[in-house]
Amino acid sequence: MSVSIWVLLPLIVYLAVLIALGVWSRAAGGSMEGYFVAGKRLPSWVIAFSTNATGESGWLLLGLTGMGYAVGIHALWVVLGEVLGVTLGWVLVARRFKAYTDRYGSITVPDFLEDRFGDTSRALRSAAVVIILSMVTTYCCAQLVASGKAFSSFLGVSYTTGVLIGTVVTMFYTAVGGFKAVAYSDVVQGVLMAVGLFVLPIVGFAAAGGWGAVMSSLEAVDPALLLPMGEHGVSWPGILSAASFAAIGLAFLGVPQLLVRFMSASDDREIVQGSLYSVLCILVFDFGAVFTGIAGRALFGGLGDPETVMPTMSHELFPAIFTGIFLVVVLGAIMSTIDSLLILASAAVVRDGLQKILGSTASDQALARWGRWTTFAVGAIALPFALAEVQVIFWFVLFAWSGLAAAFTPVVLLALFWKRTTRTGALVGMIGGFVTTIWWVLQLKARYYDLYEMIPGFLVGLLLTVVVSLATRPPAGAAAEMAEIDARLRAS
Amino acid sequence: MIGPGAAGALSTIAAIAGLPPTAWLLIAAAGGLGLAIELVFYFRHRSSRHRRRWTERRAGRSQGGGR
Repeated sequence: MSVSIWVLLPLIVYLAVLIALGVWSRAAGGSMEGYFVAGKRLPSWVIAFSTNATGESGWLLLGLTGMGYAVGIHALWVVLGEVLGVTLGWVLVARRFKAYTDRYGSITVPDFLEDRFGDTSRALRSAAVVIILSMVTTYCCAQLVASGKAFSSFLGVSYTTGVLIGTVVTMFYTAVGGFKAVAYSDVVQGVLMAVGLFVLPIVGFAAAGGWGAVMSSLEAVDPALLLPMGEHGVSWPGILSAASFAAIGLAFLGVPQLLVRFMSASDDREIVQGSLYSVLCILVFDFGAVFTGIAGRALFGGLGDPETVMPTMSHELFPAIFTGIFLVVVLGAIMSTIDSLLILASAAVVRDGLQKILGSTASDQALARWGRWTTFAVGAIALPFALAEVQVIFWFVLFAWSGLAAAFTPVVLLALFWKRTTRTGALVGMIGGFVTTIWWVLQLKARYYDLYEMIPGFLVGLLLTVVVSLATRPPAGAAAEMAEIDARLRAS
Repeated sequence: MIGPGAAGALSTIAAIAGLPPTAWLLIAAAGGLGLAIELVFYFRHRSSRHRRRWTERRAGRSQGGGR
């Protein structure tokens, strides 16, 4: 299939900007702190867009629009959960996490956990590294699959070509530019996503004849599309479905790829400013995605796969020249997640594995160089799995998202707010939350109305951390340290 | 008799009302809850920072007044 130059132009410009950002950020990556957290000097608007673009993968543009299409207003439970999750992440977690990690000089989440609990055995760090690497490779692989599908559905090029282009460009700018390139490219990608999700529903609703016409059309198809509790109404399946949708937002309180953004802020003031940008941005992202799907349902009722609603709308409602622009928007969502995962995995291998667990005595600069090669290596490991084309992309995305969230969120929240949390409690809670997530998906999910695994995973992680902490000896010095952090936060 | 403007407004309201009140409640909660918490957080921090800066400036001025 031949593709017009006007369709390719936005794509070429976009990929060139990413490569340029990688080269521009190269100098900042000379040390490990520079390479993995951009020297902790990022301004508010960069951490805000970076947090949102990282948290929202290709799932936002293909999966959440598909949910809006398939279940209508019921999909707004996802918006409720995500907006609250993002807000509470900034309001409750960000400043406190930044204060702790500055105090310890941490550059990874396992750094923070180890120092917070004074763990000299390395058990906590080792468990965190295993969980991060297993989930991140899965998640990365799923996003590469999405990149191949985006290329083939928008441009008609082969799936393999799409995966290869997405992988090579992302690996290049991430490996060369490190976290600084990742964060600034997230800004470009986040702005593209926000503009796309602002324009699409407006054009969709206008094309369908306005708000009233869309709602009438949905009511004619299925009145349940207009009900908050969906087709099940106020019943156990309806309540559990709403809770599952809303629980997606829990992860914004504690997954490592987002916590690293808080750590990389230049100071407390940037976090307060960034919180406002981030919440406004997530509102545009999520409402835009759900209402795009709702407008799409009124316009294109018979789609076999709801997740094709966004590409269908961009093809049918816009001139051909916009195809390239919408491809770039989808790629922005996908690549902003892949780059963050690559750098997270690289930090887990080099900082946590090589330096802290294996005790490498290599210089800071040498380890930063290792970081670059590891970023390439992680991408290269995920690539063959993506080329083999895993079918159910978003099942993997949600599984990886919930696995990371169930392992880290309860432990991080308790570490930040409860001085009585112990090392053993954190270790058992982290492993327990992670294992519960997998066990729930494999054994129990179908029996309990498909309740999203994040909920039992989070609850078990929280409960285990509390119970085991109460049963073990209180950590020395944690109360005084928390009081100092509280005083510092009050003064800033 | 209602004019064309009022008739238009009524039809808009009728269209909006086409969505059940519980759906509007969910839309308001999804958008408003997080935003309200964020605005309280943001302005509380901004005003406390302003207050601190103002106090520091006043303290500086009163020290300088002796010269």
